[in-house]
Amino acid sequence: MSIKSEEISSLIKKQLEHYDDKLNIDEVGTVTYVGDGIARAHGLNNVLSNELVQFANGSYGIAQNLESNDVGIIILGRFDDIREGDQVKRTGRIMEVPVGDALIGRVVNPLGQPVDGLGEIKTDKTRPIETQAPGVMDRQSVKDPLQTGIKAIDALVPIGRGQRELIIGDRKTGKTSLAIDTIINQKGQDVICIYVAIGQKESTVRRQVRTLKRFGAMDYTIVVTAGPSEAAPMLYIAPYAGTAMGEEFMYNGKDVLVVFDDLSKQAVAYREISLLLRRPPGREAYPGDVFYLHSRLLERSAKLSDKLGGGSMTALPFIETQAGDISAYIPTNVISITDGQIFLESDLFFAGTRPAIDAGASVSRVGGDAQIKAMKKVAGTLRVDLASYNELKSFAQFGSDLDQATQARLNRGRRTVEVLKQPLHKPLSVDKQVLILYALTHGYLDSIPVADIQRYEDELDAYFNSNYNDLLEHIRHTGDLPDEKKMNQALKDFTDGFSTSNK
Amino acid sequence: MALSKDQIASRYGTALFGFAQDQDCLEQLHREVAVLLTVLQENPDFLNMLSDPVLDKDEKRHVLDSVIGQFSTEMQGFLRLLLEYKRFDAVIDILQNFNSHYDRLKKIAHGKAISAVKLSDEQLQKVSQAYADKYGLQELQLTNEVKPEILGGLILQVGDRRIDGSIQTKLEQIRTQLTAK
Repeated sequence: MSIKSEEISSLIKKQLEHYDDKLNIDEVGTVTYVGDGIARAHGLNNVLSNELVQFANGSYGIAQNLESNDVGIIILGRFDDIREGDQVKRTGRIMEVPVGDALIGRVVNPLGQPVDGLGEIKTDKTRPIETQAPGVMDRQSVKDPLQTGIKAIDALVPIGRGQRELIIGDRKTGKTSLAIDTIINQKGQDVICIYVAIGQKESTVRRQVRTLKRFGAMDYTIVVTAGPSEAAPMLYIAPYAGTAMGEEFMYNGKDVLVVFDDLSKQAVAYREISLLLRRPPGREAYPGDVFYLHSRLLERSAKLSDKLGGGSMTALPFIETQAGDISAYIPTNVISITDGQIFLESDLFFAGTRPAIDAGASVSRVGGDAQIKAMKKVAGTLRVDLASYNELKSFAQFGSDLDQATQARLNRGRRTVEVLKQPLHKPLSVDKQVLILYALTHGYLDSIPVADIQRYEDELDAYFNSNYNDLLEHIRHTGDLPDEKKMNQALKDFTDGFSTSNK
Repeated sequence: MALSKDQIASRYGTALFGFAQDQDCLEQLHREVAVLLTVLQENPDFLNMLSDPVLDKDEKRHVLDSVIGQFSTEMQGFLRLLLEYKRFDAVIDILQNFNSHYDRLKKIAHGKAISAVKLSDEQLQKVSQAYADKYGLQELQLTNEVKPEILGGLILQVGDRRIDGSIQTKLEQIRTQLTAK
């Protein structure tokens, strides 16, 4: 195939016809300092806070500190070829990221540029990364459940659509897996998921994306990643960019789940920026507005009123603690902002209780209203069972002469812990969860050896699937328990037929 | 905390300006400041000597007195005060700050006209007149800077505002427009 030169010239001619020959009137300043992802510029007297500015090399920055003599700017993108004395000009805009359906299934950086090598993202819609959160009249209370597919969460610390539930724990306690499983479980639930990886190793992100792909979860997921090799400003804006992408769907009446993995790294990045911008350090060297950093972010997750389309954005922020210290600065801040927390404990994790959720320390402040009736009925006593079991457990190690009631409670407790264990990437639908918890709370598991419980659960699923699908259907559709007589009869039949493995 | 040079310049400059207005000798002082600035910038050694903390104060005073005889008493007093308060190292910034106050009052601006070929005085005059009319200034004092690499057109830089009508920038814009999808 040959290309005629006339065609090219006519094409260029056509393009040039649209060329707008206007004088450029810019407001400029001069860079006086550059380094570590921030720059200071002299001049730019009329620049506004948070305004986007452009450097001579084409990189953009955000004006952060407006002082009497200079402006502190965080640089987004390349800063190794910005020099002292370069010009920096105002753009009159604020930072925006591309949003819309075209982003679904993609991996992007905090500027909305694709990093997955799948070509450009075709969308003309953008949203500012910083916006005002919906006000009092724009919201309604959380009422629909967001099923995570994890028994321990859906039963003990239920999450509603529009809630902000903190996931907190030491490193390597399964925080990320919890989020990935939750995203996997949103398949077919009409929920758009946004996974924001902040300072996570590129290899880890790659692995998570592959996992999501394997379970078909990338069909409704956007991954925003700012790796550890990026400069601090990128890590700082990543959650805001992710939220802006979510807001587009939320304000169009859709349900969104956004995961921030993790906000402690974002706080560290913000601390770095603030110290370089010479803002006064406070506790743990964090700047004074580190609370506002997280509160204004999480406040944008909401359940919108019906007038605004009734969309929702559920946020699962992560905080990594050091040696289980939840009274450090950032953990206490985020705990007080969110509507509850799921506390993951490394001791439990290494003891094999996975997910390693500490039922005593985990709470959900609003999710209870969102639980379906059937789940409320079967999970009501679970928390108390676990608490009394944990109390008796240590006590029972000393003496063997325990009365009947204590024995029974210990028995039930051991089985409760066992039932709440769940293998990786195997989220369970709510009807199945109700089924096994019903069996537990009605004592059908008391005669089953602890080692057999996992197998019991699997076989029970299969048995109900083939013989009593109508009962499961009833739970799914009405959200309430079916006729207890039928339920009990079915469970009794199955339990009687279950053969325990020989020891 | 030590004051930054900008803070010193702003305090002393504002004071000198206010003083000049009160004494009704603004024009006189403004002329003297211009002379002083060129002299000081041409003789950095003199400035270094006067701001040297090691040298004896009285000696410096003598040197200063021998030079500033022709200035007005107001200016003489001010320079002695700077020496007394050990702020002579900031004198240039202070005088420039005074100038900026003066310019603001008189609606005068200073700027740079960058062109590919040297502009005649008449041309410069026309440009500055047009700019001054557009932005409501009394006067725009332009200096011409020749930069062949802008190829043609004119770049006008006044304060923070930069009006770019150069051929180089236009070509650059065409380039980005053609290469953008």
